[in-house]
Amino acid sequence: MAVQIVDPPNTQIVSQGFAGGVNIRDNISSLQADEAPIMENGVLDEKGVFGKRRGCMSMGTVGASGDRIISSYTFYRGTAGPPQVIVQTSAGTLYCTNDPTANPQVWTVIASGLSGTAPFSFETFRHKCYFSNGVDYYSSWDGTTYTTYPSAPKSKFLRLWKDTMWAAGVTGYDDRVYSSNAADAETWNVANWVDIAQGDGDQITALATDGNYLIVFKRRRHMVIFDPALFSNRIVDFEKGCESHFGVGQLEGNIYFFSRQGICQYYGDAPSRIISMKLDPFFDPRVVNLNALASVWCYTFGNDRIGWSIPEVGSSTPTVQLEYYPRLGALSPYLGTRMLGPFVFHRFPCQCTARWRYGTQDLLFTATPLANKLLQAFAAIGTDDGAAFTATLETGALSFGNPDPTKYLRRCRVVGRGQFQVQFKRNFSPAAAKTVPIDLTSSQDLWSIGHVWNTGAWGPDATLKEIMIHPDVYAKFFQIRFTDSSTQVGRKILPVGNVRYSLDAGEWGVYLLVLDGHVLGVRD
Amino acid sequence: MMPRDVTLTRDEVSKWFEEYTIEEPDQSLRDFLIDKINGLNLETTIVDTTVQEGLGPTTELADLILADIGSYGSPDS
Repeated sequence: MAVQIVDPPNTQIVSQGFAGGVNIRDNISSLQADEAPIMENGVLDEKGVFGKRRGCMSMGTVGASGDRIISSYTFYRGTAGPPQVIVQTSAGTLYCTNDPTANPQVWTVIASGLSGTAPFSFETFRHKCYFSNGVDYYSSWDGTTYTTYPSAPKSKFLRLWKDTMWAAGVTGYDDRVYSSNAADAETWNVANWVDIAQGDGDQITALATDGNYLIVFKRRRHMVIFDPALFSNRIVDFEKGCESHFGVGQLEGNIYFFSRQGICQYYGDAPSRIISMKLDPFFDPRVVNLNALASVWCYTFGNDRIGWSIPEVGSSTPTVQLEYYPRLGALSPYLGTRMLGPFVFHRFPCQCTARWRYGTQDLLFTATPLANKLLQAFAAIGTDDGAAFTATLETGALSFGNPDPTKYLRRCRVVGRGQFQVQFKRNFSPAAAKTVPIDLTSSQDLWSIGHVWNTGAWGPDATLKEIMIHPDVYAKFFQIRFTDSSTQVGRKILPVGNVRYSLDAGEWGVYLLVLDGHVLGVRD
Repeated sequence: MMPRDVTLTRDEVSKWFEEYTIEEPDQSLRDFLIDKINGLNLETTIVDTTVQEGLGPTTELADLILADIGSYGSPDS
């Protein structure tokens, strides 16, 4: 009897980008095609691409070596001068600099003898920066003169709303919101206060505003004051609160805040919405330090990212960042509204931040909890204050749509840039079955006048390249991990019409992944 | 009057407290405040506190100050 020999069926997986972001909630064998369980130190600023982030650049020191920056703020002064970055250190000193981009930065003492543990809340009003922390006197700084207002409420939180300064967090008055006189943040009348949800056992943790209302956050709920004259107020959400005054941020007209339940988007006319459902397991007391969530600090960078620096369990200062990309959310075909965007994790030194825009520059500065430094975040550098960091992308478990049989992974084609490693993991094992170093940085042999005829190629060299590797791995489930140990920076190309801008970027990026394999038989 | 109509500032009241030397505030503090407020010759000393959950529809200005007295701190704090 003749035997018919048949090749095992060939099958292919083509990645669909990574714009779904990180998903640590769902089973890793049932993630969406554009999601991944591990995304750290990478950015999604090109939709579908996972690229290593840029590093944090040292700009010199502030104060003594043991000092740490505990709060920071950018004081914009209009045409009166360049914006000043103000920082408060653990030594209880308040400094400012006119040029945070100078290296080394030059710091001027505004005041000393202040609290080194209670971070200041800052607001700018009528050409002055006002600040308060619940311990020291409510104060102002006009760029040259420091003034205190001993009779003003000693509040932890300040917010400017409706031409008026609002304050909360006075010791002993957990529910009370104070208001300065209208158009005068230095005069506080005796009757300008209101208790919000009085005696509910909760406490005010943050003040925010969308311009129309003053949002009063407690830990387990939030309310708004909608009439600045009568202090009339109403409940917005009786279930979700905010953990940190510094954990509230605005991007694209939306307000986002850090809640015990997750990252929330504020609506005002309806309860706020949790937008971090794919990260639900992260908001666990075994992962985040519930007792230090008042230190959560929100930042924005560029036009598309908003992030939160969060303390993990065992740390009283932030250790990990959660970054959200609202513009990458799909558009709803019915309402035209944008659906939820993706998140990624970062780990960079960040106790607090200050966004600074002046002249041609729009930069984010981050205070490291490891040194007395205000670093430039996402700078054109491949380290975090000299320390190497690793970016990692690990896919969900891929089974070629057929989980039962064993598969042979024959080829893997990667389109990307930079230098990194590809690791192939089998059947949920944490160990890599195979590691392949990839270098897409090397230039082609390009033509020059010193070359002989017919060697090399016309330039310029491509930034994006593809490479074929042969994993030669058998498994039922594969996970592909991209990682690195590089301290370099890379570049990416941005075409604007026919002009190609070469922009600094993290060392590497993965644009496309194609896996070719064979489905074999069912094996033990 | 509405709370915003009260023109008395915390600064002024803080200075009053510098004159008040009794360690444990009691009825005498209320009397002291009422004396001081009467000296201001306000049209009324009754404040509309409808919006305040812990207070009645109206409250004497001295009582409103007393309800917030802990936020003033001691003069040297």
